Amino acid sequence: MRNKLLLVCLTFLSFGLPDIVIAQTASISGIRVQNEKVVVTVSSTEAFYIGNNIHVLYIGDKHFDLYDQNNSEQKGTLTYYIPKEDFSKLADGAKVFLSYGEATFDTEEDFNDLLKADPERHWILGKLDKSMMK
Amino acid sequence: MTHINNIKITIFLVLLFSQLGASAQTAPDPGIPGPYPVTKAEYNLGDLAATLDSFGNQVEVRGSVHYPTGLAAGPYPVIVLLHGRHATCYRTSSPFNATLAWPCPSGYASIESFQGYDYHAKFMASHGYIVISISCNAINAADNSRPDRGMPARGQLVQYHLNLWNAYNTTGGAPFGTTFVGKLDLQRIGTMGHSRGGEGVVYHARLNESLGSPYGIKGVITLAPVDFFRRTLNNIPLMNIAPYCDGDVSNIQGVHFYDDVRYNVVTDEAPKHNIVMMGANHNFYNTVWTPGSYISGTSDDWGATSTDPHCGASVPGNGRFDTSTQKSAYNSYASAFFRMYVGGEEQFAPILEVKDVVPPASSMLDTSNVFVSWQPGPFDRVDINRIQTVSNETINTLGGTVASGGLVSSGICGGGLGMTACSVSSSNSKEPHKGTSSVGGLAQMGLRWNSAADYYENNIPAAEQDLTLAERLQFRAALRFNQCTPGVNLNFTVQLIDSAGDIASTDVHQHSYALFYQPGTHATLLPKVMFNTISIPIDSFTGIDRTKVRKVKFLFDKSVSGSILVSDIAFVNSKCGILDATYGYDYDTIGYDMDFMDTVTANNGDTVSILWNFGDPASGLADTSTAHNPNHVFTTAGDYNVCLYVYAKRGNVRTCKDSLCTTVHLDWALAASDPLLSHIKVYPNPAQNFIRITGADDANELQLLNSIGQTVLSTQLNSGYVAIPENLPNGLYYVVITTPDGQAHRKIIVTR
Repeated sequence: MRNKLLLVCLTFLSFGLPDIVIAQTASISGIRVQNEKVVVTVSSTEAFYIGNNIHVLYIGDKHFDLYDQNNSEQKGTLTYYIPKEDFSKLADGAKVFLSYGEATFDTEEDFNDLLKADPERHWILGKLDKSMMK
Repeated sequence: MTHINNIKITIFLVLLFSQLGASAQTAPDPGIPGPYPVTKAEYNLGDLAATLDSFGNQVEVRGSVHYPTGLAAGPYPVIVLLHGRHATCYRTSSPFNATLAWPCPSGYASIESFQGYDYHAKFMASHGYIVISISCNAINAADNSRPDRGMPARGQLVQYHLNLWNAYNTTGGAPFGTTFVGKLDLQRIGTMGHSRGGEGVVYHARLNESLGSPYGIKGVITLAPVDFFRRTLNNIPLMNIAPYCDGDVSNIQGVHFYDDVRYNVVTDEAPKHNIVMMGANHNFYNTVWTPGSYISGTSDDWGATSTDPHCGASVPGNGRFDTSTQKSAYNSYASAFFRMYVGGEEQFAPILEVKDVVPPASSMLDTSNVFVSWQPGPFDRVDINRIQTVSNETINTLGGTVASGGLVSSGICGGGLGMTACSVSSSNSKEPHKGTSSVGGLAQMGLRWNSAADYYENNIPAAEQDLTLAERLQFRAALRFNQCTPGVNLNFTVQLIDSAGDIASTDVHQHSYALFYQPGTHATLLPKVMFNTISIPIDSFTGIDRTKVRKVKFLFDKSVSGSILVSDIAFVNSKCGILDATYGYDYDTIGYDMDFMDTVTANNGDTVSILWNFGDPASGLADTSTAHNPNHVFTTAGDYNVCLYVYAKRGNVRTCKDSLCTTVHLDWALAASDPLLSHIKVYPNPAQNFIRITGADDANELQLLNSIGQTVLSTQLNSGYVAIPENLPNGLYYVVITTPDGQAHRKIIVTR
């Protein structure tokens, strides 16, 4: 079940990009095939933090961390490149999570605990819907 | 006809062995600005000006340079700064949002992260450094989709800029013209990389080494770095800076750069340092990344609304540094490091070697918020117990037995693959020293007590019991916070026991503040186990026979209960002594055949042995010699880093070591001279204000060239005396005397 998160906006600094937003919402917005990769796009209405750590995408018991990042017009996009063979092994309906930096968890409940403790660095993206693939 | 002329360079070395006083020395403050006025310039060769082998995409060639105004002297040592991953462009109209792209799209301008260290660059330039900060936006915009995260590209980018500056240093070039010709000492370079730049400068140092070390990298600082790939940097002095409140690289993985190289290469003599800054975050070291200092892309990476009592900047009584303090802290310690290892200013050693516990005033810190770890080279220490493998629970590194009594629990954890995890927390971010599933971490000895009689001890074999040359006892430690009372700091007694059973005691609190309960309560990030060195002067242990110390004991009688993790228990030796050298010149050899001379004086009955290394690996086994006054035939012209290593031993005490290195310049074309002109003499050598020439007529012309072949004086001989220009820097020069019979070439040293 997808948790509904309360979005709290920080004071918008005159310099532009605000500090890391608490409880940012995100979702998988697209899945498509590109050559030998499956491109999974994660989108948010807020910019994803641009830093030195890695946004890790967890799908089922696998994780992926090769991606491009774009923050335009303050919408955040992470575009993951997953080898076709690896994607084919993912279960349709698998739980999907996102973390900034590696996350240590075994179950969805563990991840929920991480989210509650550190909402700035963890997101629940729902379930993998392979029918989105184009 | 080719005439082969003979040149002999004689190096006189006098080595004095003296034992430095055991009393602590207080270092001068490295953060006081230097005497030089500073000029800043920038260069921009284009957003897509270069192609790096490993990257594919073209990258920008852009950077800044801070240097002593006028460049009157030189050549100057060099520092290169490499920023980390950050937004690369910002929208030039409201709301000025930041993004990742390269080149910047229409309506956007580049975020100039390379300018964020201007405060540090200006400071180092005031001390006579040329500081180059380079832009890395193109790599940052595209590195996350690459398995190598752009690390090889970062290394190549640094090398690219060094090659560019090598050109500026030799022939000049746009946009600087000949401003920097002869002004950079590219054999004395320090590098600093922040965040992904930190791993980048490690990659660069290894790249440079793989290319035959065209540039002399003398020190590397990794500032809040990532360490994705666990590459190691050996044989170069290293300092890792770890900000406790890092909200970006929140598992502070950069500690591995220190941990991984303590023992991995037996011959690695380069010192390693780790600095923990308790109130620092990731971003505030760079002003372009700091709120209030740049137009876009800034943030407090810890999180402006964090309620953590230590790292939450808005929480009353928090432990965070303000932006000014964080920059001052970095500048002070980085200055100590660069000035010591690149500049040779050894007076800052006590700061980096945990002898001065009080931080430099310029850092704006106190003893509660900065801690240092130091790993001396193998000749400067005696490892009592490295705590590397499970066997060290019972047998230490010296081969002595290990014992404990009354402890609630004890055992080695956390280290190599297969070793039990220390399990301080379920969150890896709370244990930065922890290994991963594929690469081991820091092995640690856990000691938990609940009684004043509880103890842990390392016995020392008879052959190693003479501590006459030992200066300090040190070890690294951290509280095992999940087994301690929150907020309660710990203390315990350290004892040395001699063969007669006499005991000398001191307690940790008299020498260190490192046994603190780590602050913060963030559920996944704090507190953190961070190891720091506790260093105790040997002179603190009185009333025992220091030639027969048979045991080092930790007695847990100062805190009712507690739990600590320990590593790297060692004695640190005093310095061997002072090397002094004078240089002589003689004209006597054939070809590249050179004679070296050394004079070594030992004190206090020390036994000394020497090792010459001629820096000529092409000569194979002949590249080294253990003989006094050796001869060496160099195979080709070039610059050779010739080093003399001196080892001292007193009885059975482990050796200590010192070294003297010098660059021998063999430029055969320049040195060629007709043997018929061997009667022409040039003296004195070294010279100060004048040189005397005999054997040449007054009508002859004389030129004086510097080490890179530039003419600094052209005159006619007059009565055989030639004044040396007052503004000529000390160094090596060539005297060329043109006679009707040909040219005579001589080398002299100018020293004042």
